[in-house]
Amino acid sequence: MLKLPVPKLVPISKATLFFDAMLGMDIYASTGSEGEAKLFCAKDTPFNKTRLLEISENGRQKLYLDADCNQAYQAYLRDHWDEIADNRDLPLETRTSVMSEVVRDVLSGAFYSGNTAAIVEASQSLGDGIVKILSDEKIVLSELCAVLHHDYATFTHSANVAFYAVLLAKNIGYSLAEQNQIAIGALLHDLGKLSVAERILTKPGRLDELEFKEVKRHPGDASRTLSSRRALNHAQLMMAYQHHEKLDGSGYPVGLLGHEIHPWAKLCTVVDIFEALTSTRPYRSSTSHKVALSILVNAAEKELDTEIVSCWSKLVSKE
Amino acid sequence: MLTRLESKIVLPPSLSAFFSEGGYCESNIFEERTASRLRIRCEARMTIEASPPSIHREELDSVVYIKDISRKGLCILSHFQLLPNEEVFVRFQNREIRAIVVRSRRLGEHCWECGTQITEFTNLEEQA
Repeated sequence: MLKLPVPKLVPISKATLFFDAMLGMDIYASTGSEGEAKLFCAKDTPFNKTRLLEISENGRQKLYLDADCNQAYQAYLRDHWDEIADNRDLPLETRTSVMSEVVRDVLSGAFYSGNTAAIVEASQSLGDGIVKILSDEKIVLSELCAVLHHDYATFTHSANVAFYAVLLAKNIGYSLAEQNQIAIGALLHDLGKLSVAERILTKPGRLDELEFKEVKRHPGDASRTLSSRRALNHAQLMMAYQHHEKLDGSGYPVGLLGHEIHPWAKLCTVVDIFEALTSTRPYRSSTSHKVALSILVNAAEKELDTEIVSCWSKLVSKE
Repeated sequence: MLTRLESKIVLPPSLSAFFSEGGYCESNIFEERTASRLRIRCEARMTIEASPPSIHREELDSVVYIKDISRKGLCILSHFQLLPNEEVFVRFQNREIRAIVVRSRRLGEHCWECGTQITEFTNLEEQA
């Protein structure tokens, strides 16, 4: 009897499927109780509202695609995300959710490719989308947090930091063009982590001296990787290079003092710490927003920019 | 040429004995070095030959202090911060070295330690 290979499935979010689009790839759905995934929408069938209702009515919550189609899926997302971001008829929560999925998906694909040019190109496109979504006056931090993932993966962290950085930049008063550049810088700020061993990044216990030394190399590595890119400006480069510097000189890799740190790097530092604290890490569970904020406020006395922390504090307090 | 430029480096108190030190540097496992480093303490002329596109330098020539040297790397002190991937040309004691900046560390407002990777080494005495 002929045995057909079983496709290796990877989960996707239904929020990333755009109505009336020809998907160009087979989509599978889990049947809920049994957990077995079956073909749900063939590659030559358009995805529409009726199909979306089917998911809910049948209790089918999780969608998957063949891992071999992942590149096609990335291309599909890149082709369609701006339609959703621009569609003001859709609820803000839906648009933000889709954008969050797209940023995470595209960024993970780009990061795993290891191709710096592709990563920078993807970040530029995504930065534009993040600013579009967050330009809505009604967006508040709690809504944003609710649709973001909070697992520990470098691309998830980078995506979240980019959303937070734009929200903060908008409230500080940066122009739309600057917010766009800040989004790109934030998406790229941890690029150097790609050269840190996975076993160190996910180590459950305390890092030893050698391991911590390796982690501390990532801002310099990011700077070296990105510095030849003409599409990036000095401020964006400094977001990657200086986001672990502290005002009192206790940071790394250089040990700069406050006036020597670029303002965009200071902004990135605040949201980077907040995101790290409020996400689940292999070595600890997530911290509440209230506790994370109190840690930031305490650090602001010596290490962080007081005005930036104060602005972020107001945004968190709006919850 | 060196007499036309003056050093703007201000050594911090911790480096008060900088020019009297010599010999090989001690190393430990955490430094993960592959080559031993020899302390050479002297002035040198540095020219920044290339910087990444987003970095604009107005002052290209300066006096730096040589800290130590190995087969692969040169460590210098500068009065300003050099950034990763900047390419420098350093001349001292009949040696000419081209190197790429790898790391920088602030030691004081006018004193920055800079680790570089040597890409070209010329000993003018040996060539003569």
